[in-house]
Amino acid sequence: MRSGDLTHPPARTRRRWLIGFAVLTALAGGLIYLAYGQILQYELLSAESESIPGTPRLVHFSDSLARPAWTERCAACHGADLKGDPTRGVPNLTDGDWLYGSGKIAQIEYTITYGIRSGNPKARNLAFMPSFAHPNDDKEKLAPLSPAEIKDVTAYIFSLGGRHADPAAVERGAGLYADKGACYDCHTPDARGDHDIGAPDLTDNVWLYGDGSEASVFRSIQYGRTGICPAWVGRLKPSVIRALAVFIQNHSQTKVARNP
Amino acid sequence: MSKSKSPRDPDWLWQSFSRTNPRRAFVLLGTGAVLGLLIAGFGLFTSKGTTVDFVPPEDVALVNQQPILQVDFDAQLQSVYDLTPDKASETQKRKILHDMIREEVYVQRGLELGMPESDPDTRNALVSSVEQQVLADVTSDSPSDEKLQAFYDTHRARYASEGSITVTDLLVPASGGSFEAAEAKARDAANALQHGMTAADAIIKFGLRDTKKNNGEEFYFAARLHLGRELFAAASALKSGQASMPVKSADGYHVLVVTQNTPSVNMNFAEAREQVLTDYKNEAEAKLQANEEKFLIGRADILVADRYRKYLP
Repeated sequence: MRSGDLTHPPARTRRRWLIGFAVLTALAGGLIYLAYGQILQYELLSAESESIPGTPRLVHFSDSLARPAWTERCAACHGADLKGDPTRGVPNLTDGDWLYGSGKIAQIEYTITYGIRSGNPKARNLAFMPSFAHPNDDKEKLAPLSPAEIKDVTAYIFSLGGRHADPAAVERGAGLYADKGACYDCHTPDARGDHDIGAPDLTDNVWLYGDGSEASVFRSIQYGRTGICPAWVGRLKPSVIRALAVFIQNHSQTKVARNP
Repeated sequence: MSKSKSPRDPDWLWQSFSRTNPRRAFVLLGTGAVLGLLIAGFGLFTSKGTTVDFVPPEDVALVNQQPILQVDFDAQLQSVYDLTPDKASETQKRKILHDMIREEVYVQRGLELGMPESDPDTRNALVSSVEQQVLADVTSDSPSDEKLQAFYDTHRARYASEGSITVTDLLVPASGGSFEAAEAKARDAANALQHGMTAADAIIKFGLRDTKKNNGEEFYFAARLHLGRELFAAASALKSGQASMPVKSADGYHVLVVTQNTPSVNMNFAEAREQVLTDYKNEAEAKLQANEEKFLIGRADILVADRYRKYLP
């Protein structure tokens, strides 16, 4: 057979065709994969946020979309395991205890989008924990508390969590909570917190800062606390932000209870 | 010339591909062109700043191409009705969408009317927003521990616990302007207090007056405010259980009795980390703000009347 005979192509020509075919198939596969990814992103973004957990395909897709972003952007503070760092006031996102909202995807998505005290005008920044061991500042006209008064408020907070505290100190602390300290204003009169402004529940023994010891609670009242979370709008794609919200809710222990 | 083969022949495919086929070439060319156009069109119509007549999935509406984000819509629902989208009714969603579109068209109209230049509230909001925007990166930055440690090392003196003190301020008034008699009495009282006499006994024996400037245990900053700088300096230098020498003031001589004094203690980096972070950011923000101000003023064409030129910073 002569080289170039069309009826019996040589092995080299056949190999070229095979490579060409493989490349084309790979390209087509890649395009289909990209198109499928786009379709899923569209579906993820246009779905009613709270319905996403009921669609395993979207949950799985969110997971694959969120993981790299989590590792790159969020894990530095919240940890790879989402358990946070109480020494720095970084919340544990797996315990189902939500500072803002009740763990709905839309609420988590808002927090990721605009952040907490991030400087973005739409950020969650209505409240902060003032320092009671300093003179009044411009933001809050609150009278400072004396060390004894802070100890009394600490005793009251201990009693709310069912821990032992001197009854007289608890009584004085309750008075300060409801009056001079104005703690009720953010933490609410029953001390169960206000999820609209991120004021923690003081009765549940879940501590955002420290270990809940007397020294740790005293310090929070003494120096105040103002944690932040960056705004990711404009820095992450909307689909990635939503995927992160789904990812976080998926890792929260109470997702089933909260989203039946 | 080679003979044409049927599709059943194993070499048919190769033969077919190896031959120039105008119809196939045309179909492939067309397919490639359509694919290219699709990809280009997708890129074009999904990039920012492109006028589109469809609503991107992350938005609920476009008002003159200005998006109303789904996340804002959901937040508005939550804020107005305390409901998440899955729980809100059609009517509620309709109302929120109407409100948000209404707000957007009013904002756009406000811009057309030049409100940012004439309305004081809008101006204040803009100034505040730009300030926040400038600082956003610093505000949400997470500096490394090495940077914070370096900052802590440079400003170590700042990081100390707030001391606390329980002090009784006893005054020997200079009645009739006689400071000499008051000083003598205060000296005797101080001597007695330093040798174990209680403040209550000293008040009776020497006719001292408790100024009640302090109210039990106080942080240093509060005691400083209540006592004044000079008396606080005298009190904070004492140890628990000590009494001061007489300190002269405009109204007589003071003797300070310190029941308890817990001085400020330097914090190590781990204890001070949160404050260090706050100070680090405050300093960075102040620098950034100053630079931004300088840049904006520098690039602006500002003409100041001669008579006001002296007020330029």
